[in-house]
Amino acid sequence: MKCQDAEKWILLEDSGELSEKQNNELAGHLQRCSACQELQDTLIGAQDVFQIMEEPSAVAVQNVLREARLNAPRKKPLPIFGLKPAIAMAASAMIGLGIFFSVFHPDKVGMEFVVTETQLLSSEDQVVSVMYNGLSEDDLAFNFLMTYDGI
Amino acid sequence: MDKSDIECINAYLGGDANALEPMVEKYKRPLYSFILKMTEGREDADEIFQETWFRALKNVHKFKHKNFLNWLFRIAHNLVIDRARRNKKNVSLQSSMGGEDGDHTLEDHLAAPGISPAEEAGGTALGKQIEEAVETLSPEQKEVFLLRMYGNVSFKEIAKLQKCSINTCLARMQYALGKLRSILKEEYEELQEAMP
Repeated sequence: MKCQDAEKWILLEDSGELSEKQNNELAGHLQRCSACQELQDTLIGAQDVFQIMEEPSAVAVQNVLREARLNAPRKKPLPIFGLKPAIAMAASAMIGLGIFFSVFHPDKVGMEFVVTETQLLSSEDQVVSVMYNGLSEDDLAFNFLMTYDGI
Repeated sequence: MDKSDIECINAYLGGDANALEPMVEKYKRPLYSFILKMTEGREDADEIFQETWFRALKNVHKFKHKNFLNWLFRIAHNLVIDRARRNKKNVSLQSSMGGEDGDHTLEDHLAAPGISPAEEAGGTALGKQIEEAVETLSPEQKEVFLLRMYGNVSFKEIAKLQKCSINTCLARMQYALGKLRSILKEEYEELQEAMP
């Protein structure tokens, strides 16, 4: 390998742009060539020096962050992509059914609210009412006799 | 691209206004260091640093590169050239690319007179020597060198950015290192002597 090529390969190795095969070839050359080894050392030395970096002013950074906040896209709405049309269709169907029944079966529209006489009683009275409901006067008299202690 | 970068960008695009804050923090130093070296001082560098981010924010939804920092460098590179043109200099970075690597163009004047990393590290003689050596490079050589040093940008990316071949970029980097070689050689010899 020529030193001219090796110098380029040293740079490409440093940037991670050299294949494994080329890396091995370069390593072999570097073991034999002090001039190329020196170039590699220079590169490493330069990297050490330039590790320390400058910082922008605090104002500049704040301006960037403020601009980022101002330019931030609006939050996306909840993902109900498939639900929207489904809800609309269900609502349409219900309205349609309502119209249908109100025209063809007006008697079936709405709910009947029935309260029986028993339901209006207190819970204790309801039990008594259920027990005696439907019994004739003779039955009631019989019940009375059966439960009478006869003091 | 860095996974955390993707997460930050997606969160930002999803409406989290503070999602890019870690990225600004992460990339501010390499980006600013590069800009400072390519411009005329801290004031200019601060302006270009902000403008770079403003443009990035404006176009973040279009971002499709592999590396966000490379993208920022690309924007900064264009802004540095624009600024040089606005300052009514005669030669652009790109137009001098065909020239010999020793050429000095208009952007030679763009060298940052600000504090160098080496100076900030303690103002060593070595640091100053390196600084001076970097300042003698042509803008293209300097750009290749700084992109490698600060951003670890691949030569392939640099070639795209400078619109030249990888070989040209490598030659520019070789030239830059050649300038530093003699300076660093002395330092290395001293270090090696000092080591047991």
